[in-house]
Amino acid sequence: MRALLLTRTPLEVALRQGLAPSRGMFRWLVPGIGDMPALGLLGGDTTRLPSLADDQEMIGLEDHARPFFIDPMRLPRLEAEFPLLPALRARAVRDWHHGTLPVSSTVMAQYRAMRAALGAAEDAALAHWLAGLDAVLPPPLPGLAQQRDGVEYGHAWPAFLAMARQDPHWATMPEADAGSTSFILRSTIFLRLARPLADALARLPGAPAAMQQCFAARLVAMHLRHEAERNPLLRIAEVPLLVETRDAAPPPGFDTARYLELNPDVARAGMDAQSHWRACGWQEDRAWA
Amino acid sequence: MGVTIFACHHAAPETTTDTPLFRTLLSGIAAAGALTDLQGENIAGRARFCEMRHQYFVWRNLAHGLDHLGFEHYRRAFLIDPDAHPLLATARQHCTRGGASHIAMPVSALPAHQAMRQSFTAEVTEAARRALRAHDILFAEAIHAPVEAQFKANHPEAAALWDIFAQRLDAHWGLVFPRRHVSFPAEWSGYRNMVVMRSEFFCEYMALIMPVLLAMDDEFPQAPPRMWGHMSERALGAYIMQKRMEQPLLRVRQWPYLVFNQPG
Repeated sequence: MRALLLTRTPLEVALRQGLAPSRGMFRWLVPGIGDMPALGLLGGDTTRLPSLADDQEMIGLEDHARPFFIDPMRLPRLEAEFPLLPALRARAVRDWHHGTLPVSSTVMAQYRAMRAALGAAEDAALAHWLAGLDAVLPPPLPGLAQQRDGVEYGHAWPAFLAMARQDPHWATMPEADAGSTSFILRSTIFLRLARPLADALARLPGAPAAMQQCFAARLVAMHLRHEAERNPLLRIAEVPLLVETRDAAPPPGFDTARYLELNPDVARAGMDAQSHWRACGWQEDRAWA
Repeated sequence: MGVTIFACHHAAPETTTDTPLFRTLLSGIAAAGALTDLQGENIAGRARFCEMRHQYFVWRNLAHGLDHLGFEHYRRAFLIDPDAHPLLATARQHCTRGGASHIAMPVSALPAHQAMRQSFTAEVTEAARRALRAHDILFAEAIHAPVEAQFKANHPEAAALWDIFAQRLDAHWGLVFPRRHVSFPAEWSGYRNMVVMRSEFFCEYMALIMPVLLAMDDEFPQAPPRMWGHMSERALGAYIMQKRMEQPLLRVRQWPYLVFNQPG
């Protein structure tokens, strides 16, 4: 099983935190770093995406601030090396229907360390898991961020969708209420999505990244439901996303004027830059420098 | 090794399904063209087990010839639609677009649904099997509420029996296999006793709950009707949680189902 899960990581986060070496199916996707194209969300230069997908059987995207809770480690090793994670696993099996699992920054750090410590046995288990699936998605309940985006950008959605529908791919596809830009898909499914999605987002030049993410999530949901109707036996695993619950202090060097300049939707809403960052900006990986 | 889903009946149906993938299974009675539990090792005479009678028969007589097996009801069926059949177009849309756990269908559509399943070609059957085998456990309609409180609210007349069941299951569980982290009663469960699972899990689950329930059936002859069926479905969530603790990449999923209960 050739699989790749790309973690979209803002440059400032990569510089501030440092990144563990990529290994197995997990790869960092940092705009402007290494040989990966500057993909931004899904848009930007997407020319490399189909070729990446061509080389893989499964390809996925997730956000650094909201990674999939992919948990392949046998319990004895998990208990010995990552003592905070068995309790997280227990929460996940109880709250599997939640789209997101809130965790502290300490638990999140341990989770990231666990991923970096996976060995050949876990790689094999992951490969076996993925081999029987067509899609890995967060459970279909809208997360708080999506609800917020729906309120914030809902007014612009109809006009955007009308533009997107000029592409035959989206022309008659029924709408979906909520979705996510985090997914792992069989490459054939991903390839049917990537071009129309990038083309649709290209109709939003200069739009805030959060708006693009909101609309991309809804288009992804439309596409995947269409796929499920084409193939009623689509094999889907529902995996929650982890979200840190901390009230994030603005990073050193945070400039309020620059933040509002980079996030004009926040400025238009009359929100205070620091309050917005603490409330949700850090979770949404908003640009700040 | 195969995959078979048994439709559990307690009265002779007008039509039956008998394919490698779908089989009508009667408990306590026999009818032409249908499998019955009036043979082999069975508990056909213990009506308070309701559809657990069917599960017991399959466990003791048929499970070891299958790698996946499942159970549905006489009027409830998993939405298994490998070739996008027109009969199920609306149900399919509700489940894929709306995320519905179940879809109400007219009673009159039940024969057509059975005929559709009976007509599956070998290729369509294999496609369905492949999809089912991609999961370790499929269950119908999770209810996310503390199981004990939910049971006692729904069956106040049996609250004391529940306490005995919970205590004995807790004790017996440790004898069947080690438990870690998950306690019973659980925070949710998959209801309806509708499930498709790997045979090894099914056998383990049955070995967990049946000795406790059979002993209680002997000990409490005045227990309310269907009681052991109601209790068993509440143990399923705890069992699934336990397995996911042990095997975190287990492929477990809620699967939509059809209920043929509407007029017309």
